[in-house]
Amino acid sequence: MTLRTLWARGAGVRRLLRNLAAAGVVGIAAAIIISLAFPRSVAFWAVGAANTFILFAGSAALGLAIGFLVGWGRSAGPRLISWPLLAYVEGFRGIPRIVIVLLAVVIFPRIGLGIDWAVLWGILALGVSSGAYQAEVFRAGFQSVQRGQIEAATSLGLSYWQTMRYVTLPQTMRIVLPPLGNEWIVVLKDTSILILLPGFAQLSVPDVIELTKVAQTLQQATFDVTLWPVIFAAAAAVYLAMTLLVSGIIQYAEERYKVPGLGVMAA
Amino acid sequence: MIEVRDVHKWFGDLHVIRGVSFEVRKGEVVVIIGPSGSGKSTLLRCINGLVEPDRGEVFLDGSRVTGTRKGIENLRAQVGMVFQSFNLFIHLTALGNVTLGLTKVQGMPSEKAREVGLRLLEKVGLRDKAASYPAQLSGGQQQRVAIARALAMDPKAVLFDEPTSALDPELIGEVLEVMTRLAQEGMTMVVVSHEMGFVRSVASKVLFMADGQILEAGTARDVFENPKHDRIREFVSKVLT
Repeated sequence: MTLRTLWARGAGVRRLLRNLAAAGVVGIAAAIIISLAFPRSVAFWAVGAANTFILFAGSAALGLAIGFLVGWGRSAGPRLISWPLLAYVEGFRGIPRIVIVLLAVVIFPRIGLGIDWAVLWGILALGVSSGAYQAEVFRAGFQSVQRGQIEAATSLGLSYWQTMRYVTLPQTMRIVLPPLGNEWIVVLKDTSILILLPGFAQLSVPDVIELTKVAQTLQQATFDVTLWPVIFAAAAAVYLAMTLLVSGIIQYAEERYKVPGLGVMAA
Repeated sequence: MIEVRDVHKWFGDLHVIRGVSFEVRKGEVVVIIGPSGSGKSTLLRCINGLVEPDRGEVFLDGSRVTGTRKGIENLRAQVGMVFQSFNLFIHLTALGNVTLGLTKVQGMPSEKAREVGLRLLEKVGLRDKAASYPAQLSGGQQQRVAIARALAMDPKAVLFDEPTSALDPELIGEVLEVMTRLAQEGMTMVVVSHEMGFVRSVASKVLFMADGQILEAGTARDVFENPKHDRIREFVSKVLT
């Protein structure tokens, strides 16, 4: 398949390709800087970027699952469950992520999740935190579906789950994708908080060395002060490349769920 | 075919339906009229279970549908509904709206459903709009698609809840025309409507509702020209002018 035919597949594909290109430019620039200035640290950076991505994917996915269920429960569930769900949302939205991660670091080892599970600590901490925000996004999405849509589905004989699958969810997706993308990008960047996870000190658990930790470690090992800004600029570029990629995927999905003729502003 | 027996409904302290009974026979067009807030829409919703009656029963072909999940599902499969605000699925094309029930509820293969869907859009004069989304259609067109959607399920009867009240005056005609044709073809219909021309020409029976009760029932001529209640006379004189 040529680029031209891909390009013609629609606005969503074009936006994805555009962001991919931008991510490529920024990522390659970072790679060049790193391999010129710190040739011996290239592998180190690659592991850091991969780990950052794993931590992000795990946290965002966990947050998505929690957010979907909590948002759904809050908008459609009985009052009995809506109280604890509200407490969860208010609670975790009200605590700084750094503090949540620090709490995880001191609590998990005491409840049987040893240091070998440090990656999981990070994913649980960020995922549970992000879930609170994603829950509000989904609540807004579910509440934006007009009651008449559900009534029409019901009167056609669709079951609750069929209505959910074929009517509610496709309409919810339209609403939730932009704010979900926002939150996912925040989570991606907030994996830098996981610099607080132990692991680097214990060389037996190298998995948790994420991107920011790589940069900081390199800085501490570099005696030439003029190189320090280069180190963090390189880290910034790698984060930017990753967020551009995520943003491109979201925009593609947004385009896919777009409804012709529908919208506050003319499309 | 449809029998409503002593149905009551409360919303909180508000007693909106106060013991309504009537019967709809096969091929009849029963029109419910009455002032706003009299419970007409709620009554219609009680029939297909969108609103559950607090007391009383609804029967379809002699078997009770109220209270049992199976009964209500059975009834919804056989009785279509058309809403005042159309309620087309905003994320589906006109054809997608008409075929959703066919493929997901009746399990019809999508090719066959497409055929049926196009035939019904043809029937309401909108075959060329099959690929349009609701937001791209006028109100009158949307309501005709909604009628096609209800008819696609091959219902024994169709309930219409003020189908033209949300329409601009110049769009009302096209919807009434489709409904009139449907009535002439022998479809059993229960219609909440104030379109007096339509009521006079197709209603087999008119029910006048006020304060959650049926004040009078009879032919259009009986109810409009020889009303027994002052309230009906007052209402009719307001609506007819």
